[in-house]
Amino acid sequence: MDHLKIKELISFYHEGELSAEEKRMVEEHLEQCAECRKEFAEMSEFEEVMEKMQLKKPKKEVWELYWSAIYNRLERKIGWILLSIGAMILLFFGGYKAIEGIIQDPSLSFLLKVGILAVLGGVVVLLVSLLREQIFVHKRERYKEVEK
Amino acid sequence: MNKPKDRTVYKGRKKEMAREMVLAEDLVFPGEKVQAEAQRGRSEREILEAVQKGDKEAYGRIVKRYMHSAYYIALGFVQNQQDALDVSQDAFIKAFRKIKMFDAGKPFFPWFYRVLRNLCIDHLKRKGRMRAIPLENVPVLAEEKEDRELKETLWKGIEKLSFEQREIVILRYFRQFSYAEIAELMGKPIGTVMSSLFYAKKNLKRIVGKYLGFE
Repeated sequence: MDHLKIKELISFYHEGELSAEEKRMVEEHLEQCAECRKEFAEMSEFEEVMEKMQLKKPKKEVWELYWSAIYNRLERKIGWILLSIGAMILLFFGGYKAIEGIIQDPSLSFLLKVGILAVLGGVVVLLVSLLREQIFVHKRERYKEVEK
Repeated sequence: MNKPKDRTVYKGRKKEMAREMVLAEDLVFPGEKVQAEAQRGRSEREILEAVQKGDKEAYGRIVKRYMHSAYYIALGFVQNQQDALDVSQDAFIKAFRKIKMFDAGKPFFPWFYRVLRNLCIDHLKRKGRMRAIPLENVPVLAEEKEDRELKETLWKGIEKLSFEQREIVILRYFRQFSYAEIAELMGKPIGTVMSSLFYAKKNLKRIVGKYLGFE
């Protein structure tokens, strides 16, 4: 068996995922190959260093509060949705009443009515434009299909 | 020569992960204690079916079961404790909102992992640091004095690997997933995973060779 194949098996030897047959092949080869014995010794040292490497642990409280933080955010989401729906209803109703009042108010000049309605119309157009942009971006969001 | 030791490495870390699971099982709020006990015997499928019906408490069981893996995997990618916490929690929230799309007959973690991985990639792109961070600033590793320079150099080497190789190293060495599990998580053939890991280790061994006296 060639060295490259044995070196590949040596690379996996320490991870306990070789079959009994593959392990036997490595061990037999090591008996007669100094180059692979050296590779094996170096790989053993390397694996020991990797074994000792630890990622930083967070404080214990992080684990204790981990789920409650998620739970609170899930709960608040419902609150935000209700708040947004309510605000939109109030906004549209208020806007409708305001426009109705402006149009029916005989004390306001025609030019002033046109000016106010133009401002309100501009705000609506801008809001619709922003909303359309958000929908456009969402439709082209990367990796969206992977999550499904 | 003496017969090489027939050992499965990372036994210590596996024990630590087992402790994490036990700890996670015990992490319930006082009022949930009785319910948690009742849920202890439920299979993951039953719990996930309850979650799909909107049961948030049941989702808590799932979160506590996988939060350690989610956090440490995210930490390996985003390299900052606070960001890892935020991204992993965001992933659980996103997964909950999309849980109806999930097939409860399948294991949860591979599906969740894809959500987590994508959020990590998005985070890195936003931060504009897909590549290495300076050597003098390695906030990811535990603060141990033993072989500090060697470990930091090794981590720097992990940083320099391709994204896919780094992903495999994180999953294999820091969460002890088997090759088959990594292949499932990444949606790649097991041979590809093993080959990538082989070349990743070869690169890393070369990087730390001068510290370990390899010729």
